Amino acid sequence: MSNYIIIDRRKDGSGKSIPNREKFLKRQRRAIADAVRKTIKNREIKDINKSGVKIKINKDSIEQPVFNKDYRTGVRTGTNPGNVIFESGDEIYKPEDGEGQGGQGGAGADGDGEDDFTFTLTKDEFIDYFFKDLELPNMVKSTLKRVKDYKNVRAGFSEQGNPSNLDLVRSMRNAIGRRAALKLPKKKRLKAMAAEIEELSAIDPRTEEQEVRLLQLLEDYAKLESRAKRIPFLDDNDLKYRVHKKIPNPANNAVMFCLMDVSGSMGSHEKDLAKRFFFLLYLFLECNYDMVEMRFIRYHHEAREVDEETFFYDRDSGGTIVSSAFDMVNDIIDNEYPLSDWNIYIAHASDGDNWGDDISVCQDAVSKVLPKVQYISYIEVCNENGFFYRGPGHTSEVAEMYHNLINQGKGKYIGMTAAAVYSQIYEAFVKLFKRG
Amino acid sequence: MNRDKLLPMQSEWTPQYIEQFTNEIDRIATEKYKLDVYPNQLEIITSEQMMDAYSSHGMPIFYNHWSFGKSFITTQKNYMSGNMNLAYEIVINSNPCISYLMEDNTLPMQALVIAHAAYGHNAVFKNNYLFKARTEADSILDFLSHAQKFIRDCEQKYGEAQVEYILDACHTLRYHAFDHHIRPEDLSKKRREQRQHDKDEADRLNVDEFWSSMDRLAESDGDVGLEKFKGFPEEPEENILQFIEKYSPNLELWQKEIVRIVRTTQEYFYPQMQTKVVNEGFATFMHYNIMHDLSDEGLVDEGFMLEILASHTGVVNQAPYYYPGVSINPYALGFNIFQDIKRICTDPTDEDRQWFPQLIGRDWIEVAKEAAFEHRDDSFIAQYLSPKVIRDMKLFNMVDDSDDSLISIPDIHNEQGYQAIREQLAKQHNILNLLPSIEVDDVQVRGDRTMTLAYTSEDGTWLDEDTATKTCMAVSALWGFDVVLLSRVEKDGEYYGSDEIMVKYSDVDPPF
Repeated sequence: MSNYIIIDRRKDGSGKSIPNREKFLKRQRRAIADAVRKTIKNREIKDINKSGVKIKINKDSIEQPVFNKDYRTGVRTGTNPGNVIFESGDEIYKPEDGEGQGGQGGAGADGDGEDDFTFTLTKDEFIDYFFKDLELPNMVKSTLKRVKDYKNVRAGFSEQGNPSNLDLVRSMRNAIGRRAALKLPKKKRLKAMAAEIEELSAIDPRTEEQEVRLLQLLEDYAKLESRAKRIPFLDDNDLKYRVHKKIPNPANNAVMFCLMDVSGSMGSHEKDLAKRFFFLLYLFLECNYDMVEMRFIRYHHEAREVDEETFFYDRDSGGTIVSSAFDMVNDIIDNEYPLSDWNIYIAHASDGDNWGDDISVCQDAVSKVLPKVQYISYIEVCNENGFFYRGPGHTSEVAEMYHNLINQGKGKYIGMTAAAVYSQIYEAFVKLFKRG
Repeated sequence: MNRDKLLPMQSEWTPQYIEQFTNEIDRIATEKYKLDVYPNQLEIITSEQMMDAYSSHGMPIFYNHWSFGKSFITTQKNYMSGNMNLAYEIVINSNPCISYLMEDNTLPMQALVIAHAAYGHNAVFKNNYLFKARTEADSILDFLSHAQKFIRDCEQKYGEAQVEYILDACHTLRYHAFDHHIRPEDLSKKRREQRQHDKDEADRLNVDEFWSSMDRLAESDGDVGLEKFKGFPEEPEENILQFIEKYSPNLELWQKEIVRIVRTTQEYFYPQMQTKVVNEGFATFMHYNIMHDLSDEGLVDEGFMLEILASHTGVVNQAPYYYPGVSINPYALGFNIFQDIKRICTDPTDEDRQWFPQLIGRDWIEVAKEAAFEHRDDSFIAQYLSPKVIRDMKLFNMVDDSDDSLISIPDIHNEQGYQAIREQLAKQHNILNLLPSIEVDDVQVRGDRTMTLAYTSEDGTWLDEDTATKTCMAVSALWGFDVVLLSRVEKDGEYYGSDEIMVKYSDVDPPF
């Protein structure tokens, strides 16, 4: 009989591969960043969120080379199984790819055999890479990755806990009950007995009756006294602590209105900047609310609600009348989103241009909407050369309009920023969080 | 069937049931088959932990590297898509011998794993000559623990990028870290010397002295030195990684230790690479026989055997050559040969008497153990592959000459073909034939310290240029100087046709 032992390792948990996986991801940083960028361009904002993102990397960058024979050269002989048709001396044409049939277990065979290596980034990992691109400060990152809000509610009692949570009344009540159950002699009784003993002892001589009584008392007293010593006044088991449980905050719902200027002056670079901005806002809301709806409104000289695909990719042109968009938002809110149930956000992206006469009208439209929303985030995008539509140093009409509103004291609900490159988009978020 | 005798015939296992089965399996293995095994450590793990194990060569502890991360991701994908089902594949060559039992396995499967891994594989680890000569089961886990810690410390001290750089370079030479052509007796002597060398810290510093003396020789002796000096190395060195470890003028002590770690772990895995058929064959053969013994003794019922046989059949299945990506299944080949050994010993035909006269009438258990313990794959096949197994598996030889537009089939499973098939099958299980033969041929000790590697081919096969160049860059990174790779064909002692790849150390990317 040889000896053996059985060890249950399941509680040790897994995770030995975590540092290896991290090392792998680190090594592929650049490749993953590229893949992430492509993913954002090609995927719907909502899709990016579910159960992680699939990333494809070209295989070449993740192989460990070894010395390999080139089997397209030389003579290759192999023994193969399962012959049902060949006779000795047969000759067959080579299959199209030029390689011989069958195979031998090759040393150094790594990898899938496909051209690309695919794997899935979790949502957190994806956010990490996305933000590395944007260079967001860590505070923002942790806020966005945060799970829902929790609140503490009372949830009964427990035998263990923090002294600060000790429930005195309950504990004492328990102690009394225990003492009663264990028949802890009451102090009064003991005192009375002691008094009687003293009294009887003092009597001299004692009658037989008194003697018996005294002896009985002494015996009883001794018993009770020792019991009293054994039964503690307060026992650990008596103590009761209040218990608090964390439950998720019944999250409210949020809706985000994405407004984008799609006049001729908004090129693909500007739209790409805008898309990232919208995506970040969406992630922020997604982390803080149970349900986030998105409504997409494009406008040039008139506003139109569309789906996400059309919102970003459809070509359009025309002049720009911003107020049309805000009027539409107003209507939708009034009809579909009762303020008691919804937290409303507006994200507005444009290049700043607006039809001249529209400014004051627009201001009114925005003012009408302002009290109904949590926040309006305005981002002005400019082209790759870094110039705003009107050139540097000139405030655009839209920016001017927002400034006016801010000067009127509505600044708490409006955030403005401009971005020419990806890394500037974070400013919007710093503003958003500074507020609250 | 006496149902009272039955072991627990449940689908769900409990530690007690496993114990009951192990006791019986152990009894049969040690009493009937007289298997000498290391003490067993059966570890119950989750499927996630199994994936962890799969990703780092199955070892419970290993140094960290991105290639294992990639391997883990691949394993995870395969498992999630239902492609993985090898429940009895992870067992460690260590003392005690660690076998993994996945928690999801049914009780019959656990019994199978135990018979297969904890007794079959265990016996090979402890008794096969190659394992005995080249691995130290008693100390491997301690060594790996030291390795992991050392590498982590280096990452702290010198940076992750630096460590990864060295590890990556070492990994490209992982199949050139062995002494193939060494007799077991010489090997143990060499390992004793190596152990001494390793312990001797001062010894390593002698490398600098070595190079200084070489420089002095170059300067002072002039022509006189040229005659006496036979070139360095005197004999071509096939263990490239060890050569670098010993002689590299460029590596720091900590880097050399990392090279030693990679080399030592590769040496540890070497027997497993050379005994796939023997090891899996014997383990399968053991689990098959032990399970049948349990049934014969009335300890398990038909339902149990049904499940066992279903799994067993899947494992020894050999798909025919025209299936894409098919290769010889070591489980199938090994099991078939061992089963055949049993048949030849106990119930031989005339053909067997002709081919295996020395086996007739012998105790099949003894012969099976002899075959498993005294051989590696190529000698095992060369000695024991019978015409019957060749017929059963319908083996045939195929020749693919790259200069020819046709593939020829010289030998099939008939009288004329058996010998040639057996020879070829043995040959393709010799790792020396699969790995390109590359040696350190020369080092310019008197000059710019260029290292010349030589690839020698017998059948006209050249190296794949792309991977060869990349690998030479790794060699150069470790060596610290230029590297030249010669490729030539050897015929009748002469070398023909020399291709050359040159890598300049200045072209090698430093770690960033």
